Amino acid sequence: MTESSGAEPGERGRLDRRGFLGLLSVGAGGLLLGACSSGSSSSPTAAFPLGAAAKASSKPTRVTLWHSMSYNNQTTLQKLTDAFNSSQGDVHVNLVNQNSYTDTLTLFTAALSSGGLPDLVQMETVNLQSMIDSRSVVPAQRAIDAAHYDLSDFLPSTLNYFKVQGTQWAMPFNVSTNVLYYDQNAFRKAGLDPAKPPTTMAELKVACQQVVSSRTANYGMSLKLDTSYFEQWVTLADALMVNEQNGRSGRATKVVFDGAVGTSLFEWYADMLGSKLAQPTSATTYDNLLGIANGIAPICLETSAALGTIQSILSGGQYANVKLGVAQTPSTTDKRNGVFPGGAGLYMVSKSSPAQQDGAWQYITYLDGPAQQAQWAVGTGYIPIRKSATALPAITQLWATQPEFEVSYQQLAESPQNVATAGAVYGPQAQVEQAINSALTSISTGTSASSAMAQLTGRANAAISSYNARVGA
Amino acid sequence: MSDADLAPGAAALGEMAAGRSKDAANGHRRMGRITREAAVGYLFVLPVMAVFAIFVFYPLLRTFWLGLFRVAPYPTIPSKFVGLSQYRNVLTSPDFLASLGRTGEFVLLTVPIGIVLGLALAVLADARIRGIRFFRTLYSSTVATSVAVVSVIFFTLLNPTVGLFSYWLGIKGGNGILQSNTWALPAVATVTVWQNIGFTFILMSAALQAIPEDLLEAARIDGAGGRSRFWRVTLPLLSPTVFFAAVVGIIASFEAFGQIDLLTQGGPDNHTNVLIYNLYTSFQNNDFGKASVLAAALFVILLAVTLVQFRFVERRVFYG
Amino acid sequence: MNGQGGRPAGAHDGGTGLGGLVVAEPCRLSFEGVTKRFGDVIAVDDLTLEVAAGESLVLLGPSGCGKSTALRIMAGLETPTAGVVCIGDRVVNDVDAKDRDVAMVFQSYALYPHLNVRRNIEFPLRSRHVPADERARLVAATARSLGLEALLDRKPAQLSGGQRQRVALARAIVRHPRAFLMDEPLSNLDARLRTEMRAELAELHRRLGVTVLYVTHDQVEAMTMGQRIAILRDGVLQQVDVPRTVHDRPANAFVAGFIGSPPMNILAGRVDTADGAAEVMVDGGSIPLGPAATAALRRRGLPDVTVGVRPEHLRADPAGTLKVTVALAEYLGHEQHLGCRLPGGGMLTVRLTGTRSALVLGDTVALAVEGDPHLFDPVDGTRIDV
Repeated sequence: MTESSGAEPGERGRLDRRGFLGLLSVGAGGLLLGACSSGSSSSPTAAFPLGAAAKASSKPTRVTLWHSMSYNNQTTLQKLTDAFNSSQGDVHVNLVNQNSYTDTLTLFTAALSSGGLPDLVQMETVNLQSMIDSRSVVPAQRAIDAAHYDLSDFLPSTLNYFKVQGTQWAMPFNVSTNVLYYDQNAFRKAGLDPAKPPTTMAELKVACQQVVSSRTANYGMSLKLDTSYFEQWVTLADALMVNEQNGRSGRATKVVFDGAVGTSLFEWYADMLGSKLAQPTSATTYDNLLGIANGIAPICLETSAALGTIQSILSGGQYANVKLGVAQTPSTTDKRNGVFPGGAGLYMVSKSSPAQQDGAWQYITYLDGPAQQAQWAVGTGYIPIRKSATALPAITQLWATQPEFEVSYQQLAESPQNVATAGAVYGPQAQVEQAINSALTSISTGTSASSAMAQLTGRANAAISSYNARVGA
Repeated sequence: MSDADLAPGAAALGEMAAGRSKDAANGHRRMGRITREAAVGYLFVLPVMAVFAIFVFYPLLRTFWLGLFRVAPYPTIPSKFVGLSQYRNVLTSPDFLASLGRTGEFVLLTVPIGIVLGLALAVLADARIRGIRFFRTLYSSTVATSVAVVSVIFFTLLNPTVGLFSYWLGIKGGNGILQSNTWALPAVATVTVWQNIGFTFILMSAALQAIPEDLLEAARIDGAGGRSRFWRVTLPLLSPTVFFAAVVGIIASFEAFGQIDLLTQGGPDNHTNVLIYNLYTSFQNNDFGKASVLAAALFVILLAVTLVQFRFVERRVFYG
Repeated sequence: MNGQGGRPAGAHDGGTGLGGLVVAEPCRLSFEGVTKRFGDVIAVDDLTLEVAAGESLVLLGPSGCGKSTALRIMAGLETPTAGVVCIGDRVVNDVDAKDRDVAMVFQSYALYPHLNVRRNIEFPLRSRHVPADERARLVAATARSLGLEALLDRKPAQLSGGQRQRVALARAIVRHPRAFLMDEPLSNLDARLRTEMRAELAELHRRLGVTVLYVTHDQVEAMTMGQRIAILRDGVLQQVDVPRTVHDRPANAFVAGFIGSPPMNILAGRVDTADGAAEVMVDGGSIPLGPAATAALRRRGLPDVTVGVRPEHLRADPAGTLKVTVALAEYLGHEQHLGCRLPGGGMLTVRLTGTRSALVLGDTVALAVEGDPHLFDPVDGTRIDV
């Protein structure tokens, strides 16, 4: 319960007054503690303590990172971290696995009152507004300004997502996008060209019709009833999710996806599901991928981050009849805008000591370096966020032998930079996404697109206004 | 007064007066003793009361109190006192009423069926046949399973892509049972009934065995057949147990969380979003104010159910 | 059953009216070679016994003698391992208890705790689908005859032991069964109530004239309730006869020791027929025998014999042939029991009636035996008929 999260042996177990108060408030949601701990967020103009770790009286400065990487990806992250720790003597980073992005946010919020915060936290993209509102973050912008850190080699999309009104809040780390997965063998069987996967939703529908009419599979594709594909398509159509320029010019107060684009997307879902061209699959399972493997539906959309896992399963030989193809997400029309990045960013915590903040920044810049990003991408299937990384042998070899891994990078790199592709930023993103999932599910069970949209808009706006009221905005 | 008994005649009066004053003195001493005993009694109760106060009453009151605040999603932002308006808003919201309705449906789907099945199995297992111990063990075995394990097993069985049930039913892909607006709640209820059947079975078996053999033999001699004996003797004698099982079942159904979280997460489209899951989601959204109101509502409902039980037990409406 | 299956034994088929109650024609009950085994235990061993129509027969024996099992076999609650069970002229081995049309009163009364007295009494009538008005009439008549009218709306828990007993009886009577089976019906009552109920039951039997098979371990109850008594020991029938015969001419030493209070004194003896008039030599002296007994023992020709003397047949007499020491004295008001020690250590019980005896503990007295003693075979205990 100490604020140093028990990283330093000397501080472990010492219960200071704040820690004790935090302990008391754990069960009560930290109501009273809210007031007394809110003042610790430093103002955005304060200088970043660059070089504090090198000048620290005791070395190394210990930095804790909370992450949510699964076993396979954690192995690569640990390798990178070990390399960082042995590359210098000022900073030592410890990894703490908090199981999932959702759990990380829950634990982080709890730690705001009870103590035990990390120095660095990996948070899913959608939690950006929440992290800003939590008043517990040192914007990366301060370190960038202090260090005159060069951002020109970064893939712009990845930075822009975490930038709100000129402030870079987090640094991107693990980035992915949704891509189209399909079975080339099934395409061939259905009389489709495996080399020419559908590029628009209209073509996607035609392909599905062909799969079904040729009796290649029960369904043309799986439609995972998950918000991220809907959001991706809204962005590809150059439309916005929320007002105030997707929340980039001011705090969003309502959703705006209920216009022509969103409504026609819902109608497309209703059409595909109603005509049995697509099978609905749950947002919480990988039944869409299993659909390809089991020959139920040879096409689906899924995050590119799953590619590494899929390839390792396919290489097991259990699904020898499947030849995987990967393509960019089909656009809504011929006019393709672009996609926003998914994944997570790294946030520095303002309660940490200057030396720890500096240490965290050193670690971030290490992880985001071209060589490390190349290693990370090869080890996990995430996108390398540095342009120069793509010229490194590790990446060029991977892409040459397994071109599927390049698709997601290209999709993001080709995306034009605008408020739509920056992605939406607003507070109760989890709740709104839950409402979108619900709406898609209700369409799959026969609710009309228009009434699903009407109900969704009501729920989403209620969630946003309730959240805004609760943060006092 | 024994002094007075021994002293007849005129002297008795004086003796009695003395006795009375002695009695009064005794009275004072007795009161002193009672107070002392009470003090010792309270001293013994104190640790329990302290534990209750800290871990039950305080959080309870705190929950009601917290319902008066609009709590920010982060403790770094001060909460705002909004009084009873939050209770009013939450308790009249369609969201709350819908989840209350779902909870009601869930209770109706789980409790009566669970009791009927548990009782039926108990009656079957009451038969004196070879190998009945095996069946008794089998029937009560679900007690030893955890809700998480059961849920994961059923989740896999019901999966539309790889599930065994889907395979048997000839379903390939599409919405499974857990993704169906119509069938998701009955499916979760079925898992709940399955999970709880062992407990109900044990409860009913114990009650069956507690029925004196004489009564059933008397009924037999009085001309009642097997079915008639069950309806006219066994069932009425089981009624307190049935009632107990109903109350416990209702409370358990109101608090059924694990299976819903693992099977449907409140979906599809909120069709399994019962009160307790709504409460959980509110906590997940760090909306402690709303969550507290929901918790208070849940508390009041369960308190009412419990009071009904106490009332019935106290009145002994069954027999005895 | 009158061939009507589960229908009520007809209220109007030749029954005899009695205070509003109509009673079915009583019928005989019989066991023919009935054996019941529970695993290795033989509870009832080749029992042949008949209860005549309208008779009250008591099955008597110590606990575990198989008397309750025999009763339950008659009721249909147990299936005999071998043998034939008849009710009336019908073999009922394969007839379910519910169809046998006999009533049973349980030791525990077995009242339905969830039903009030009225519903308890009419339970067997409902089972037989007796119409409601008929039911009401029968319950009212039965309740009246047993003085239960005021208790009809009470639950069994609100009744005293005696009242419960009466309700159990009413439930048996109301259906006018062809026979009553009673399993220690009085043993849960206190001594005073037991005496009262005993008289009532006897009176009831006289009024109703039904067949009764009554099980008890209490020989006083057996003597007063039974027109005949059947004594069982370890599943084997020892003797069946009217109470006087069972008491005066017990078939064997077991019956002799079981019937009578205080129990009969049983002594090992040796016959001495040396000089004409015979006597039996026992510890502490000798018991003279009359000519008939002497003749019987002569015919038998064996010296060893078991002698039984009822305590009331002993009296203090200076010319007595038994020398004992008074070791115990119980004064009961109308009589006095003396425990007298024999020189060899055995005890003799003496029952003295009339005025309080002047004997005090430690006195040595001579006892005389009135009449002939009971004589039994020392090996198998059977009576040596005189």
